Amino acid sequence: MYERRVITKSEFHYMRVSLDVQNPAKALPVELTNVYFKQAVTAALTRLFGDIGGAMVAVDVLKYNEGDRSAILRVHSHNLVKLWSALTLTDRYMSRKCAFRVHQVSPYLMGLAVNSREYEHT
Amino acid sequence: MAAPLNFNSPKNLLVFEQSSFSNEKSRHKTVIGDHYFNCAVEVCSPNVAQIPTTVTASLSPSSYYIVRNLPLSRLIDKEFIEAFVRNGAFYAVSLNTRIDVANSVAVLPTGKLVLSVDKDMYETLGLEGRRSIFSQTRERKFVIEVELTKPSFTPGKKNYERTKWCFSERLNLRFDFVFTWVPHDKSICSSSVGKYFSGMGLSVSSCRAQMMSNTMKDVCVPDLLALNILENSQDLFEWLGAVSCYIDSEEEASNDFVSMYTTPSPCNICTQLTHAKWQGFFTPEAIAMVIDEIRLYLKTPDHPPWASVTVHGYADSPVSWRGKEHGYHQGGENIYTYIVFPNDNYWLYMAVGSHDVCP
Repeated sequence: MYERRVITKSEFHYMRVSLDVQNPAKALPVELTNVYFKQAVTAALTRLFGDIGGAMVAVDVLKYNEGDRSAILRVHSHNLVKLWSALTLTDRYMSRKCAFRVHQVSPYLMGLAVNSREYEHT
Repeated sequence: MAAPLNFNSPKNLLVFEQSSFSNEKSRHKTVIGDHYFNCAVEVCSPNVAQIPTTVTASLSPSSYYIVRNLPLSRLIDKEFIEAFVRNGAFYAVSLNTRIDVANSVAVLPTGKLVLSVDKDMYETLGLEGRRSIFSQTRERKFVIEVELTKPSFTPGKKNYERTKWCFSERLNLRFDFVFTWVPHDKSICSSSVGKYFSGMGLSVSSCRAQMMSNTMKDVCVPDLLALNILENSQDLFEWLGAVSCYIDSEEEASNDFVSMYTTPSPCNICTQLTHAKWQGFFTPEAIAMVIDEIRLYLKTPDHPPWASVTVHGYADSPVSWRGKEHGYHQGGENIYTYIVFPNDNYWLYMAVGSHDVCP
């Protein structure tokens, strides 16, 4: 038995992102938990595409690390450009200056498990 | 009313194959052997407390080297070609060179030197090459290939002298390389290349693969025997990715607002799921050995129902499979995963991004 399938379109895309906040010593008014992080992403989408346009982009926060405010996001492939642009154009969250950094983007979650560009050989 | 905004994401290719190691037409040897530059290996298996020591033994001791500021002209020295390129498999890929914005170089074990260069470098260097297949509309990237082991590539011949002159006089190209050498003659030590380079006054450092291991308790694991794999192949690959990224689906799924991700069904609760990751530089020979060890392990009593081996290629390598051109668009993924079963059947995923040829 031999079977071969070629899938040319991934259903989802995955992004490894982090949220940089200006002057981290002056903390945000709330602790940025995964719920608040998701809310920051949703706010970024709503700001650029409006209430309905933003709500049509479903984003999942698959993993979130509160320590460095980094996350792995999952989005439908046809919404990747919208999400990426909304994150790029974000400059404020809870009236603090901030920026989303996009570290890695891949059509496979497996692609985010390793980053040969950042690995330090020892 | 405004037209809806539609943006397409770049194309990508996920190839799924189902076959058996005992099938004489099985391509598993070429899939592993023709993927030269591997930066990470992951092994995952349910119902085992730890990864078998035989697997760890075939990966952990693999040492490789980093040489700083190596002039490209040194790689085409006749002495070097005769001693190392002809007498073994020499794997080298440039380090800290981003292929999408800069130049990247690799020496394949087949004896080919491959340069992926930008337009400026191509025009200044003056060596014959071809336009990258991923920049057909804009002349942005070029690929130059030099056959090191060709009988005519020897001092005194026009092509050799021209290449030597371009690499040393025209542009004194220097790169950091990560490399390893597997000699044909097993009595020769593979560290000879490192000594050869350090004898030239170059800085050479020896590196070892780093291992990380993680065991998860009472996790939901898809039942691969009951899963309709041809319909759910993407879901299973996503789940393997979630394990590799240490995503706790139970915890994240507890809040629907945060994530709607669920483990593919049908799934069972497994007492433990072990995952190990090695990072460094791995030859195809080492990976073939891991697959063989996994196959043997799955034939022992109390074996787990399956085990997976995932191999990640270097994102900035100028080639992926069979020396075919590779590039970096949004990512430079060139990954393959074997899911091995005790009866020698396997499922294979090969995943590449938009700047890659179908594997």
